[in-house]
Amino acid sequence: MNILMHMADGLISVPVGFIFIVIAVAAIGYSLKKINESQDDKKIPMMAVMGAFVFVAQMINFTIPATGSSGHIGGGILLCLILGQYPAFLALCSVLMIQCLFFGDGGMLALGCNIFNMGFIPCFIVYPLIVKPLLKNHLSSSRIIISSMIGVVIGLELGAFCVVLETLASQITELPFALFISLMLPIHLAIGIVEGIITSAVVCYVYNESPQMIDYALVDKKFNMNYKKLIGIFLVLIVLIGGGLSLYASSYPDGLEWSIGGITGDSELEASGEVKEALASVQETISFLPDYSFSNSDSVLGTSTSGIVGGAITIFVLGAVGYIFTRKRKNV
Amino acid sequence: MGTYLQEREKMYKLLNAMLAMNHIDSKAHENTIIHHLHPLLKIICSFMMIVFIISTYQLLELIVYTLMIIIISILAHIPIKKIISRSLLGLPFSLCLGLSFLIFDHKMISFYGLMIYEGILLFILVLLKTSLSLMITYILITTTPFDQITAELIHIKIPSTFVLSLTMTYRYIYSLLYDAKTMSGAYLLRNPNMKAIDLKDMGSFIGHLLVNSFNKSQRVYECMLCRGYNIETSYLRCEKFEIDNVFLLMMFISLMIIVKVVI
Amino acid sequence: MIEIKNLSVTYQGNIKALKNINISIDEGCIAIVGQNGSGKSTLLQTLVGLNEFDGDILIDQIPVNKTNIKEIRQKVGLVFQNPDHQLFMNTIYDDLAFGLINQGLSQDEIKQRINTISKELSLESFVNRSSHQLSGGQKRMAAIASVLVMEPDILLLDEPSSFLDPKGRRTVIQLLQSLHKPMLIATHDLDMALDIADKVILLNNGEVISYKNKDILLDQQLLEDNGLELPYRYQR
Repeated sequence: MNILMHMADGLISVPVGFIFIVIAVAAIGYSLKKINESQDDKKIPMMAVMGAFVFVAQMINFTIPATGSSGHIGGGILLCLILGQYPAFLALCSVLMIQCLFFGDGGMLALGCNIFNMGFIPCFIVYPLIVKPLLKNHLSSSRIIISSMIGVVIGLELGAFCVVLETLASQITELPFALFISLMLPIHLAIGIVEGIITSAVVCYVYNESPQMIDYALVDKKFNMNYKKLIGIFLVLIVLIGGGLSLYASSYPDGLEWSIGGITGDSELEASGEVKEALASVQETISFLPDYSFSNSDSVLGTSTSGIVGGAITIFVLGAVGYIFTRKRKNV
Repeated sequence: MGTYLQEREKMYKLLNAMLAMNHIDSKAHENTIIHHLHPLLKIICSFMMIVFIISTYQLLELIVYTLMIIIISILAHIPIKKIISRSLLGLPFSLCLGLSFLIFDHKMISFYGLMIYEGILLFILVLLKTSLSLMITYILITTTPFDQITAELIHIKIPSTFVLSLTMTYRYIYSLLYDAKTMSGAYLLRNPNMKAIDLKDMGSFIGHLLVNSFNKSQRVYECMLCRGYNIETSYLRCEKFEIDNVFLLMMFISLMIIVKVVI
Repeated sequence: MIEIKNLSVTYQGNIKALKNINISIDEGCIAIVGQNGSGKSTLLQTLVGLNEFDGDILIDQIPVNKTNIKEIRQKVGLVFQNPDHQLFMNTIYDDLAFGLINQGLSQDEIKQRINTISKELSLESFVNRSSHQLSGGQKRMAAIASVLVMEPDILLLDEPSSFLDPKGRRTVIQLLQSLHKPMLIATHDLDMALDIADKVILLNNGEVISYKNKDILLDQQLLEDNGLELPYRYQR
């Protein structure tokens, strides 16, 4: 969790935001179901206090030797090791929501993306598929160090990769894919190694001081995951996300081009090149509402603007009258 | 101890600043029109406004939204200076991405008759959108106490277990921040040469905080048990969403649509 | 009021926190004194069924076990040592309401009870504030209120005078004196015990050394044998 990973609202488009909010809500619902099934009401205060812990622990900087810069812990994997994946995910969601509302880290619309990048990936992918298999049956200090290290690094890299995908899917940046990736991944590799070192040091301390804290999540049979099922869910997700994004992309074949039209008030920017023409024809056949978007083509605007404005004004007046009426009745 | 450390230690300062964030929450209890609006209404309107802002590509429309934000903040007695400084918080990453427009996009376009680089326009748009949505979030949080926001989540059918844990997370952030501040103060006083905590002590320092937090969560759990807690009851109160709020919402949405379509 | 037979509590497999305790505690205000680690808090927590134990505990003839635990916790309210654990919601109001919602009371009843208790304990000025904005004394009063509002028959308090300044401590003592409820107070603040207790249980090393009138708090030899000192006002 660092400043580069918290996506702000301006960096994603509305459909991308909504797709990931849906995913986040689904994941929260699934985790809640799992926790309720286990009837473990102890997890609620634990989620809360440990979530607060991650928040606070990330404020504590340490010096990185010989560089003069500073770093902090990576929260996701650490929480998974202490709480188990589902409570850890919920705790991270709470933390991200609070960071978003109070501290301006990430936006409300981008909350779904942030939960996916920093909560879903470590808790639903990295922990059950990488860290847990490494630790199952062989719990020892060195294993813990290696697995938490690997877990944090992979989690961060995957998260950074998703940031790139989400931004590109939103058509917010002009950065070419390869350049963007080659900027983000090395930076996060460095951050990941630092976070990994510190996370494994913390886990090691806890393992030596009170090993029962770590055992708890790993030994917990109720939180076992069916790998086939997990991979299945993952595949469905990929199809959903991919499908949703491509559907969106195809309905606005060239978001930037279209957007420039909006800025200049000049919609006659010629789509050039065969690819774009091909896409445009694809759009006409695929998109939900071919001629219904608010794009600046004159015909659409001309016929529908007055209708929409009229409708809106009616609703406004209705609302105003209703409000005044109910207020009056309340005061009487 | 405080002042000596505050002059030198960045981290100590940071922790202190976080503790001082209390004031955001306390402002939320002031007495203005905006503060009196129903929390759910405010949440829905803020979210809608962000959606409208993000989905537009017209500079003029964004300026209208900016005006709306300014009016709201005046009504809510929030100094505009504060809102602006706050909205700069989230900019670094969008700045990086926005810069890409300046670097890669050299197409000249006509902007209301003015020839200008397309990249510059897009750059401004991204920055403006990011900071506007941050402003809205800030206004929401300064006019609505956090416990009301979480209580409203129950209205939109988010399970009470999650909401309870969210409420408690917020509560314990301050408690643990205080612990962390005290601990780091004690550490730095005994290591006058260090600017922050040394890497080799980090494991035990944070580990210690972790074990403490864990024990704390056990105590809290016991406290909850003693007061008859069980996982199925809903614990939070929420105000009724009365019909006049629906009318207000209708007014707001239609206003937004008018702005969107007319401009 | 409370019957304890052959009570033993073991922590982490081998540490004995309480060793074979047999005692029958009467109504009134009873102080449990003893040095740190003597088992005061453990005893209180065991009474409301937070610890696994061997032996029998009867509270008003009801045995403490898994089936009765709800009834017991309804009857007996425990105020923890650290108000930060006791107050886990965002506002004091929510904290006061938490236990009442669990009791299944109606919204109106909850509101009314909270109003009454905040008047009695003068919490009105901060009942809608967040708990992290309060002073130590305010937090302590709120923590006690969060249990009192549930109207327990018996009140257990763990170190109610800790973290308090002299004035806050006096306020708490006055409050406890005015309650006229059966109370068990675990403390090493012997001055307070002397002020409010009718009888005193002296614990050391997990065993009951004596259960007598509060005059034993003036027995210097007995106190020093068990790692305690005379109440401050009688020293020197």
